[in-house]
Amino acid sequence: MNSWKRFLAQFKREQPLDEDPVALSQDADFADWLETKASFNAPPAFQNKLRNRLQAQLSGASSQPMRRSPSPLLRLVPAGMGLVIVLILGLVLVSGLSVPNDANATPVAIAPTQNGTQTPVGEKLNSFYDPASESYLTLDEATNALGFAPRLPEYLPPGYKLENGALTYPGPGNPPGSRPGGNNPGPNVGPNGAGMPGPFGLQFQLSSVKTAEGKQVQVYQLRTPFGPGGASPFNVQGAQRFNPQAVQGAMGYFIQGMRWRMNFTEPQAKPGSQATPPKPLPSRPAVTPGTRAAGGPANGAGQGRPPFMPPGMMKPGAGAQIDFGRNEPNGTNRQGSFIDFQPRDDGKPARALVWEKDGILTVLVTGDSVADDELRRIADSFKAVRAEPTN
Amino acid sequence: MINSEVAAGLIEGVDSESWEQKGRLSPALLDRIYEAYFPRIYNYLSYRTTSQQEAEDLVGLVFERVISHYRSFDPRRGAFEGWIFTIARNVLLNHKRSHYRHPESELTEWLEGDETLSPDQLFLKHEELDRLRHYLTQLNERDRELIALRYGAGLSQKRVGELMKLNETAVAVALGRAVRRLRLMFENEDTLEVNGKEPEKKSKNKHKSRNKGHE
Repeated sequence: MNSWKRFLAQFKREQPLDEDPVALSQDADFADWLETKASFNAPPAFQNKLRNRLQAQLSGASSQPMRRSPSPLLRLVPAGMGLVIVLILGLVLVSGLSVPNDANATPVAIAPTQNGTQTPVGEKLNSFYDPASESYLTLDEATNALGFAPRLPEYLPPGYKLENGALTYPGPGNPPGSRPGGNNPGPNVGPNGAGMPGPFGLQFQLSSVKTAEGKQVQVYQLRTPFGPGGASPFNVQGAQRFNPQAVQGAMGYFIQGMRWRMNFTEPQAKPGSQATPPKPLPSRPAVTPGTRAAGGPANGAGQGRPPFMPPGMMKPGAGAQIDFGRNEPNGTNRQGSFIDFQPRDDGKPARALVWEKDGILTVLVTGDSVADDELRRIADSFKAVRAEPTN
Repeated sequence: MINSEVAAGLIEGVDSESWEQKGRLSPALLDRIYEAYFPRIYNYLSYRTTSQQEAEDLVGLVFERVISHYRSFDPRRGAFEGWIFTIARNVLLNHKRSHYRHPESELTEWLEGDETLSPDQLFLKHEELDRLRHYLTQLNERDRELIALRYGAGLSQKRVGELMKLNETAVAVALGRAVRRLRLMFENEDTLEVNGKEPEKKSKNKHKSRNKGHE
């Protein structure tokens, strides 16, 4: 009887709606509101952060060999072996046999990690995303593509790891000769053959394993267009803080600010100059149209665009954007190149450590999570992980 | 709310070219999937959870499963859309089993998502979304799932029927009743007893003014 009542109640509930045209019209309006307006939007910062994490997870998974689940029979093997071992031990105990005293296990030494991780050079980042071919290159392949050996840090702060390695390309609108390193560009590796300029630099990041927001150090690296030693001294505009800092025996600079530009003039254009203190930055960096180089993916008209990054790796780390470009002499700009630092997403100033050694310019960018001393220690540990390519 | 062109293109791409690469998920394909499905899955989970934080946690889990289980997707057994929302429903189910709690909704929804709205309109929209989330928790589980799949995920009634093991007509009838219950909750401005009792009919045409307010 009770089940019959339940059936009747269910049947009553699922009767078609009444035909009241007003109510039906209101339902339709409400459904339309649900369909078109009532949407929950995720914060863009969260969306980007999750995308980065998934891409990093995918790249990690793709570098692992594919594991097939063992057959049910093979799954029984460990259990069988365990059973055999238990039986043998039981026999040993029962028969009164004893294990020789000298059969000790060899102790395994574990290096202390309290003071950071000493990373074997090149062992921890052997995968660089190549946006041209949408594939991952090994360290050797990346070295050949770049035309110089990447410098990677041997020292990482505790809990940090290297990840998200990627090559950076000049925009299609930029002639290869106008980019930093254009005098000696790397070989063409683009999927379209000789018409596609090769990558000019690379980027990667040091990320805290805890993946807290901002706990990252973003690294940009490229070859300067003027050879070893030609980049110093620099000229910085717009920075809140600007301190010279020796890195690996070369002159470098700590820079802090929301938005700044570093000009580095070629030696013949500015002989004997000194590093200058910070100056106010104009509202928009003055760049001769058509001469901006190596910054964005389609950037021939001098528009400010972030450097090209692989999908899912946009604005990683501190969320800052960095453009590399080249000024042409036009009365206001002296000939030379520049680094343009754009604001972080969260509006907080970022700190950067920039130095040039052996013709390779490296920029570390971080938020507040890594102290200056730690940043310098990371910078001092950068070493070439491969021999310089001969071509 | 739904970019159907993107979704349709993606389904086509996933069904044919990418799967022929022996189920390998490339970074570019993951990016396309993310672009097309993140808003819909996030919206669906927002309809089904009680806070933004919960929805964010779950949407991350969904895409992690997409990566780890992508090889199990077989287009011959069904469309990608159905596959990915099956994952989303399973993630949600597991979450509800392990976290049986219903905290009040939080006033932390993202307010700057729509640049076409003024600050006042944004605030109103936020308030309405907050009320929507609250009233959704008052619906029974089936009504809530129907509305979340149809309007949160943007699935067709046919697809909703496939996922919920109902025929299309039953989905249409049940959905119509669920929408009316939710609408009356909005209009009556108080919590109604919906399990077994039809709410009092009281029309104030608030949803019409709501629609006009956003146009």
